[in-house]
Amino acid sequence: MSFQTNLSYCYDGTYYGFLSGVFESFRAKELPTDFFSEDSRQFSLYPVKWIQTDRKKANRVDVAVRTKLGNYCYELIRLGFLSCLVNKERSMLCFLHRAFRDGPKAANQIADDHVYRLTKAVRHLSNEAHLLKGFIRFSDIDGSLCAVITPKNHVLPVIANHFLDRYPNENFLIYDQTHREAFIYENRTISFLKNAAYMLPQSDETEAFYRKLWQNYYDTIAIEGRYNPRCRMTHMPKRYWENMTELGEGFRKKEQQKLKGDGVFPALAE
Amino acid sequence: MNLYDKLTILSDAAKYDAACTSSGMTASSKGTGIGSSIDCGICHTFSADGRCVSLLKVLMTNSCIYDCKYCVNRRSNDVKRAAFTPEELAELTIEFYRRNYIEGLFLSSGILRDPDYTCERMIETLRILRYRYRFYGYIHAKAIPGADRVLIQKLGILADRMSVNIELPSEQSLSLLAPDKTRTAVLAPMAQIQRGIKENRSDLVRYRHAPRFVPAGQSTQMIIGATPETDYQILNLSSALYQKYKLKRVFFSAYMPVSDNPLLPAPNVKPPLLREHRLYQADWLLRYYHFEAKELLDEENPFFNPYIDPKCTWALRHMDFFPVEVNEVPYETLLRVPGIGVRSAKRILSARKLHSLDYDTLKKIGVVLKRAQFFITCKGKLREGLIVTPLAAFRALSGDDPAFRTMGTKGEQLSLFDAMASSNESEMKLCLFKPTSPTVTTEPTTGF
Repeated sequence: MSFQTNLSYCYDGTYYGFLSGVFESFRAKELPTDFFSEDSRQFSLYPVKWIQTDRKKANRVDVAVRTKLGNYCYELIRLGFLSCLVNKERSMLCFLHRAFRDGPKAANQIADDHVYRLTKAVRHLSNEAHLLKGFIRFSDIDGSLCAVITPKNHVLPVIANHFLDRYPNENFLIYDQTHREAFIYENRTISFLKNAAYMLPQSDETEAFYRKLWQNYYDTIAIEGRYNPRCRMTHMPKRYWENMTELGEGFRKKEQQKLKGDGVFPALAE
Repeated sequence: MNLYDKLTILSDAAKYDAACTSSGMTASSKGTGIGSSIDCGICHTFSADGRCVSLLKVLMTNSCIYDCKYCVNRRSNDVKRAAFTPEELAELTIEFYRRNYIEGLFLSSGILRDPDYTCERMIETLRILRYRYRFYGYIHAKAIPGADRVLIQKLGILADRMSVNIELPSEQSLSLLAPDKTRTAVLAPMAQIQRGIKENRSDLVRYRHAPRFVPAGQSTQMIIGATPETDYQILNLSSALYQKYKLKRVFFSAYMPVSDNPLLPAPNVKPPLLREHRLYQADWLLRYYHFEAKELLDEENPFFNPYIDPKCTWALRHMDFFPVEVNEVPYETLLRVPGIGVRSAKRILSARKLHSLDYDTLKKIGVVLKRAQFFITCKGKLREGLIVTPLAAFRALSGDDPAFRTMGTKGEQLSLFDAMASSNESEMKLCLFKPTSPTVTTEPTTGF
C-alpha cells in the first residue's frame, strides 16, 4: 500500500505525536526514510515533514491498534515507545505497516528485521523494569520515601503501578536521572514530571542507621567459601550498583562527598 | 546487646539455608497497609557469592537445645548467642521493606527451651507484622519439627510459604549426624502442611473468605556432600518428595565445613559446588523439561558428569534419537535438545506457524546454536559444513559449560595430539556409551 519516500518525519517526542505520525503515514500512503523527535533531530539532507500532534488522529490509531492487532501488538507499540531502541519510531512504523496488512500474527514474524529489533528492545525494557523493581533503594526523608535510578529505558511508567500497590499509605518519589523524569505519589494522588531535577538530600540519623544495618546484613549473608563475583555480576550488572545502598564504593563515596559539600539540598523543579 | 550485633549474629547463623525465593503467590495490599507480592518473585540484591537475596533471612534465636553435627548452631559449638524479640524483628522487617531492601521475611529459629515455645515466638512476630502493621508482603516460615499441630496450623495461616528441612538424604545419615532428630519427626509436619493445603483448597471453594493456608506451598532443603549418598539417590528422593508431598521446591545446599567432627568432611575440603549445580540442573529437567529421574542416572552411573550438564549427557547417550526436525517435532521433543530451553521452544512453536524456520531465525529466537546444531535439522538439512560425530559434539558441549569454568576447576591446556587422551577419557566414555547390559531398574530404597 505505502511506498518508500525520501521524506523524513519530525514530531514533538510525545506518544500522541508519534501516533499522529503513524496516521499521517497511512493517510499519505508513504513510508518516511527517517522518523525522529525534535530534540533528537539531526542534520538531514532529506526534506523534513513536521508532524502536528493531533489527539483525535492519535486516538484513532490507538483504538485501531488495540482492537485490530490484539493485545500483544498493542503492548509492543506502547512499550516499544518507552524503550531506548535507536530509531525506534521508524521500526515501530514499519512494524505497524506490516501488522495492519498481516493482522495480529505479524508479531510472531521474528525473521522480519523490524519485528526482531522491536521485540528485543521490548524484552530489554521489561527485563530492566523487572530488575529495578528489586534494585531500587528508597531513603526515608522526613517520612516520605525517595529514590534515584539511572535506567537505560523509560521504565518509570512500567514500574509505577508496582510501587503504588506496595506502598499505598506512603508518600514516595522515584527520580529517573537519565531521562530527567520523576514519578510522585503524594497524599494519594499521582503526578508524573518531565524535565525535573532532583538530588537525594543528606540522610538523617535513623536513615543512616538503617543503611548501616542493611550494609552489614548484606556483608554477613554471603558465604565466604562460595565467593563468586562473576555470578553476582551476571545477575546484577554493575551499572545498577551506583544507586544501591549496600553496594559499591560509588554509593558510599557519594555519601561522604555530600557530607563535605554544603548547600546541596533537594530542588524539585519542573 | 544492640540491634546491630543481634542482626549480625542471627543473619550469620541463618545464611546456610539455601532457600531465599519469594515466588509462588500474588497478593495485594488493596490500598490498606503495606506490601504486595508477585508470582514470579523479585530478587532485591545478589550477595558476593552470587545468591539472590530476596527476603530478610534471620533466625529468631540461634540458641538451640539440639546438637546436630553439621549445624553451625549446635549446642556444643562455642559461638555468640542472641535472640530477637518479636517487636523488634517486626519493626526491622517493616523498615527494611519500606526502603525496598527486601521482599519479605524468612523466619527460622534454633530451638529455645522446647519446640512449642519457639514456635509461639515465631507466631507472635508474624502476628504483629500481619495485624499491627497490616503487612501483605511475603513471609516464609520454617515449621519447627516437634511443635504442636495447632501451632503449625497457626503459623501456616500467617505465612505464605513454609518449609521443613529434611537436612540429610537418608535415615542412616540423619541418625548418625543428628541424633536428636528422627525422620518421622521431620516428615510429620511436612505431611500435615500438605494435608492443610489440600483441605484449604476445598474450603476456599466453599467460602471465599476462608483464611488461606500456606498459599505459596512448601519447600525443603537437604545438605549435599556431608554424607556418602549418591546423586542417583538424592535425585530419586527429591522426585519422590515432589510427587508424594507436592513440594514446590527442593533446595540443595553444598556442605560448608563448620565442624571438625570426624564423621564429617574435614574443614579443608572444598564444598561440592559443581555437584550442587548439577543437581539443580537435573531438578529443572524434572520440573520443566518432562524428564524423569531414571532417564538421567541409573545404578551403573550414579553420579553426574562434571564436564557436561545432565541434559547434554542424556543427548549424547541417545544420539539415535537425534537429529530432530525443528519445523515438525512436538514441544516435548524440542525440550530435549541441548541449547533449546522452555522459552525458545515456545517461541519456535509460535514462529513456525507462519513459515518454516532456518538457522538464522533460530538464532534470533534465542536458540544456542553452538549446542543445538548437533541435534537438529532445519528444513531437513544439517547446518552447513558441520560434521556430526559424538566426539565432536562432546568437545563442543564440554568446552563451553560456564558453570564448569567458574567453579574454580582448573581447565586443561588442549594440545593437538593428546587432547582428551588422558584425564577425561574415562569421563567421556561414561557419557558417550550406554552401559552394555540392559540395566535392571530396581526401586531405590529411599524410604518413600
